[in-house]
Amino acid sequence: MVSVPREARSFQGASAGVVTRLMAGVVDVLVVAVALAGSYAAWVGLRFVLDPRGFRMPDPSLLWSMTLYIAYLVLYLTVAWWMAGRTIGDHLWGLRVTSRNGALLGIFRAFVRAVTCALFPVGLLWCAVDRDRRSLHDLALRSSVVYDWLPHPSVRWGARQG
Amino acid sequence: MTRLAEAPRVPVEGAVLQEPQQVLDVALGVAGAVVGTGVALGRAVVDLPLLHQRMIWRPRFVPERWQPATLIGDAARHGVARRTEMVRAAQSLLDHWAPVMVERVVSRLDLTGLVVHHVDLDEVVRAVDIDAVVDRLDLDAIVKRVDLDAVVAGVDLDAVVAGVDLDTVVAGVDLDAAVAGVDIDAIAARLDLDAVISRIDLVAMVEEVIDAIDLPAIIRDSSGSMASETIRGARMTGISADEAISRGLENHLFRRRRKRATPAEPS
Repeated sequence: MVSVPREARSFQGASAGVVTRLMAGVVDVLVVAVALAGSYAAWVGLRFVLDPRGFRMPDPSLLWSMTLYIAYLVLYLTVAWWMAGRTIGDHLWGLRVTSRNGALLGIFRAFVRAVTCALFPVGLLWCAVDRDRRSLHDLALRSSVVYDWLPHPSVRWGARQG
Repeated sequence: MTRLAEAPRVPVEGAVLQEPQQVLDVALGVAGAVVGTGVALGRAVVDLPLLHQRMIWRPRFVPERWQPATLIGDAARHGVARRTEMVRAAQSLLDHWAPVMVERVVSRLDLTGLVVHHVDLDEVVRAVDIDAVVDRLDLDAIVKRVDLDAVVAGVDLDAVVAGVDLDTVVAGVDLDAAVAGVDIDAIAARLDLDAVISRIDLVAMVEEVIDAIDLPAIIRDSSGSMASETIRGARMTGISADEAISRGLENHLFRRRRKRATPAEPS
């Protein structure tokens, strides 16, 4: 509680709204895009080093790129939600993904949530109209996204979303 | 008193002198006549040519022991001895009686009043070379003999300070000029800061400060809230936007549903 500023304490542990979730999602999408671009640059550099003479810029197809992007996104979201309950975007906006009792998601639920979020991101918008601010993924997986400005998920805030 | 004491010595019989002044005058007149006659007689005798003759003083026909000069010389020697003895007696008498007499006299006199009435004290003080007096004073020794602590203890400083208008005093002091006259650089140059610092147990002090600060908590806090006002502001903006969206949607899109539904608090 000490770590949370006074003006944010009343929101600590409350269900997060659509705006912060969308902004966190945008940040995560950008992070994964940067990671993908970095991977692509690394792949190109490696190919140039291995075969300078026969080097041509690789021309990945859109399908291939999208597949790789989604794979990156799922891996990133799974690891982040499983390990810390938050991605970089979540951390930036002070969010945390937990189960209903406030504990972190298990690796399986984190993976399923990551897949559904990556393939069906529109489901996030449901939290704007849901009374308890739950997205479709949350309703399906009995997870919740709360405001949590604390650095570590050791203190549980899950009482208000029931 | 003196005149009255002398009055009985005057040998005037039958005279009824009421005024002591007259008695004194008469005494002085008689004494003057006697002394004058004696002096005239003496001079006449001394001037006699006969006396200057050696034959008179040293007649050869008289044995030397009985010659007048010898006799007179003997008399003179006796006189000297007598005089010496009398002077000594008189001195002893004076030594004995003078203090007593002076004490008697002084005890009957108002010396202070006499001085005040008859002495021009201003003139006396004007004649005194006060500078010379001050030069001869050993002021240091005097000051050493003064018990300043006792003096200060006896002074009611509170009352003194209360009576001083410090505001006026301070207003009259040109502090800027005073400070401008102080060579602070020189003072700082004279400070042995190294010695001061070496006397401070910096390590212990720093440890004490760190103990009091609880540094881990601060680090935790700063990393927890990302220690950035920008981040904090962005988060608060996001929360506000969430609240605004929620309120707006509840008010406009689901007014009917909200009317029908019982307000159930999330448990």
